[in-house]
Amino acid sequence: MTLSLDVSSPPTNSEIQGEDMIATTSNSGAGATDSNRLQALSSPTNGSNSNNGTSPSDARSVGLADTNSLKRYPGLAQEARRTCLRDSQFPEEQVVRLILQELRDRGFADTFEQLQKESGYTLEDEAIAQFRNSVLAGRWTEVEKAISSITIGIGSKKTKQAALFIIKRQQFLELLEARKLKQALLILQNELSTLTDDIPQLHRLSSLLMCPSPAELHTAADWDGSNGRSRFIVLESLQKYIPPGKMVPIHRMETLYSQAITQQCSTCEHHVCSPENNLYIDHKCPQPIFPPELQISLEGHSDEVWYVAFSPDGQYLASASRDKTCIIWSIADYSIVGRLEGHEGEVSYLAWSPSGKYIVSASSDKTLRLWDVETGETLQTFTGHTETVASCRWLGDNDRFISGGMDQKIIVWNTKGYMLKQIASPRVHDIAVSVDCSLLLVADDKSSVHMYDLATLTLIDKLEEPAVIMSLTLSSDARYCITELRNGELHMWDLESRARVREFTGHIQGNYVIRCAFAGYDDLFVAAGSEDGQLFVWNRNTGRLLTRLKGHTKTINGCSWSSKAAALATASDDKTISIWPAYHGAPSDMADTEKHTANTATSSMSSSSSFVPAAGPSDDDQSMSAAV
Amino acid sequence: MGYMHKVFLSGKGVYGCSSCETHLAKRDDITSRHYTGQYGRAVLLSNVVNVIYGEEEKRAMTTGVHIVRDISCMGCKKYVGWTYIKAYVPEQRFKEGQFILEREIIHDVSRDWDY
Repeated sequence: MTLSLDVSSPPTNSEIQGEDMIATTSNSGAGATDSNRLQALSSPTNGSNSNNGTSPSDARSVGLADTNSLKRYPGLAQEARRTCLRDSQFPEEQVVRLILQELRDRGFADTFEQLQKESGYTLEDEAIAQFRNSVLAGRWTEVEKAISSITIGIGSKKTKQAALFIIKRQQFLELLEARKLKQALLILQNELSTLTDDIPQLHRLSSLLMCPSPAELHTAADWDGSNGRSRFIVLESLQKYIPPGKMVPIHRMETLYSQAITQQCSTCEHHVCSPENNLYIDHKCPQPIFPPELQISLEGHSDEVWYVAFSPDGQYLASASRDKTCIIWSIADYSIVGRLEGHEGEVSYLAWSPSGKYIVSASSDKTLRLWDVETGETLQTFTGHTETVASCRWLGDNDRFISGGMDQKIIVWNTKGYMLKQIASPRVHDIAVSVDCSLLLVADDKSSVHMYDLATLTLIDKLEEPAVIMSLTLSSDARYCITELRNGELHMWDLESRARVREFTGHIQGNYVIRCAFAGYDDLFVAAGSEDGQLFVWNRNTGRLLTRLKGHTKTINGCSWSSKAAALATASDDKTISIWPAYHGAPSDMADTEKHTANTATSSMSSSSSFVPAAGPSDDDQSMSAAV
Repeated sequence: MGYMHKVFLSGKGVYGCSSCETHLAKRDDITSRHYTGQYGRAVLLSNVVNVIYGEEEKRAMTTGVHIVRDISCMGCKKYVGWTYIKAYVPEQRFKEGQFILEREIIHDVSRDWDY
């Protein structure tokens, strides 16, 4: 509150105010007139006028407001004007200043000036404007002075130090770029070192002194030079320490818009489409998400298909089977582009390299094989496990992957065939690696998930389940993890709070390993197979069953989602693989959307009644097939 | 069927497949040692692990007609015994849901038990 009081008095004075104002602004300044106007316009006036001891009489202020709003809505009669004005729950000053910022960011200079004049609010006061200019022009002594003065509003000594460090670091880098090594060294020794306790950071900075050219400095410091965006970035990071009322946080309106869209997406129950960033209407995805009957069936395996995975680009699909082979399918025409033959045991797991050029597969013959996707040849066979290899995952680059076996070993390999690291672990049922490769999850053959820090391979935590864990699935943001248990339960954990947050029910699962998948944009769905041959799709956030897809005659062992292909793939004991393309919101779907929305509205959260929208009336099904 | 994780039994007295050492049963789960299989002596067990099931079939045995399913080792796919689905003779009903393992085909992988 005190902040907004500080800034509610625009410092630029008489020339901004209208003539009618001057009469009252004998000594109270612009702040008083502003609050008068706020009062009269019946906007919520919270505190900004409570300290206004010099407020003129009521009659006076009403008269003032009338003249003011007359200016705002020229040509409107009094009554019409009143209906135009509305109560806003947000302080006018904040709203206007956001608009001012937006206008300036979009380069509407005249309107910007005009609005400042008309509203009496300024985006930034003189001190802030000067500060901004000094940062962008690289006048660091001035910036430093401004930081230490009160006008900028940086409060504590600690934040001042942090802000100073950012400035000094930039100054240091700019001096290095200009090859003024001596001065740079002085800054590093005398100033930067006193401002932080972060020794590794100081070491990194001092190592930059060795950079022979500005270009190398840029890459080494991940910094784009004084002519690049670096000063903007400095300004942005300094803004963290300046009270938001003084200096409106950067692109504030944009931030609020994106927050609104994110929020709309998170409440969109059938979220499959990326939001179109339409600000006019709320985002909502059409329903249903998958055609309940229509699907493409891929036949090629001679035995049960146990695992399926889309390539990173979504153009190919790889399947692993009990028939000891893997098959690579093209999504464009659903043809077989490669058959990976060589394993002497069933293949239960495979993983695409991030580049999509290699596949590594794990088998009960106790080996892993690295395959060239293009030629279908084995590039390398990895022997080292003494029991069935349960799982394998790539480690970010295209050179290393990790495997876990029933033999109580977790091994890090490189593609040349070398064992880089081996750790003793419990017997491994499944492993998962976060996209940024910081986190390793291992499900043991009992009932716990072990969380490791992947860089150091140290145990962080253990999640306990009530039954044996059959498989593990990690969301792409590594926030959520799904455990599939032998007792048929499917649990979702929030890895941030290390708490079980959701349970998904409805599917049938016994002794066999069924692997589920996150699906949809932002991983909003959870898809899992069932021993009755149906694929279940739930909403991750509500746990509500969205649909059951019937296409297989036997157990669905695994599924995979690709946002690039916008489809789900399922692998089944019936030796086939099915592809379920998601809707993209074609216009012809819209009619269905409304019908289904009506259904959804009446259905409660219980799993039995939530079948209603999924099963749907039969005529719906036909129109849906037509849409695809 | 689907993919199964191999189960590893712990403790003393663990029977395994003699050709691939895959664990099959615990000695503690033995209900009776007085059985005869296709290859000689056999044991009746209340529980086994790591086996895959064959088709159901009707078989005439010394104790009467039963519906059984052959079971084989998950690791090497070799025949190891059978399980009783249904016994037509009422006195034999107790065998339903239990398993026969052939002693010739299994051995004790923890090796503390001489038979």
